[in-house]
Amino acid sequence: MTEKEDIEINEEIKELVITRIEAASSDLKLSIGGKEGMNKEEVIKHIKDEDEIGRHIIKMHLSFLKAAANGEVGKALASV
Amino acid sequence: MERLVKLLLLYKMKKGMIITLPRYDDTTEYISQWSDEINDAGKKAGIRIKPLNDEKVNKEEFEKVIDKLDYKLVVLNGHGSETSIFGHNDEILIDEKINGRILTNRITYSRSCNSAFSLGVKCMKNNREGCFIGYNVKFTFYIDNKRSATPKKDRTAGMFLSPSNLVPISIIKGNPSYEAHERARRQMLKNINKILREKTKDSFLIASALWNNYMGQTLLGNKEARL
Repeated sequence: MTEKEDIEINEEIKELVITRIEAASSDLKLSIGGKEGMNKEEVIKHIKDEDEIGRHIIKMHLSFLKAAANGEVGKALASV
Repeated sequence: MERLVKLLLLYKMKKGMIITLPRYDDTTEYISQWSDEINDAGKKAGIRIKPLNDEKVNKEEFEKVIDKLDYKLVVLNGHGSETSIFGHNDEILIDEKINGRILTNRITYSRSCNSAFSLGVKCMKNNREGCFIGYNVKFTFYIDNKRSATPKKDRTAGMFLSPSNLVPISIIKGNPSYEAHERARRQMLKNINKILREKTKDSFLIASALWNNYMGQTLLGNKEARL
């Protein structure tokens, strides 16, 4: 899913992504684009605000979930 | 005539690498420190290397160096947008409307966000010998905050930055651009496999970000381009 491909984001999707992020370790910092590394709380704020960074994070999670569900990830992993 | 142009291009371009190493925030500090792997590969291969560090990563200096040395391989670390790649303190280093053409016929690896969208496409217009490998997504990686003072010891960041280093390293080793592109992507898949098997509480997040880079890495221009 490229940046140009848009998705419909609703509260349910946001909650799904936030739940996954909350479950992760607090030592992780996310580095995206021109932003300083973000801690968990900052990442969640971007998602709640649904700003450019938040939308990217949501898209990234959904893209992986969809690819895992439709077998694309499995197929790619089996090729290496 | 076409063969003559090709020969002239091959004659003109010099076998060497210009690499930008800005360090003004966590992200640029990390990607610049992890670029040591690229520099080491260049030294081992005996190619000429011109690093541009910190404040030297600016448009004037970059243009001066590229004009003077005319090295074929250009490795760009830093923040970016669809139309530009930034240097020190987010100042424009290359912009598709200003100086993007200087990348035409060179082998460029751009470890920055979104630059394959438009800048990469524009600078590969009228290109014969070169290629542009970059991302049509935001290049994303995770950092282990416990290791942020010693980036090269950060195994989490290494899962992202080491595979991406394989693009220029593979080019330096004499492989064609499509091979360099695929080697890096294959290593990203291997790292996804590894992290998912570890089943830590961070596995899903790390795997999804690696998948983002894997899907977003794009090769434009000549797929057979070699140093």
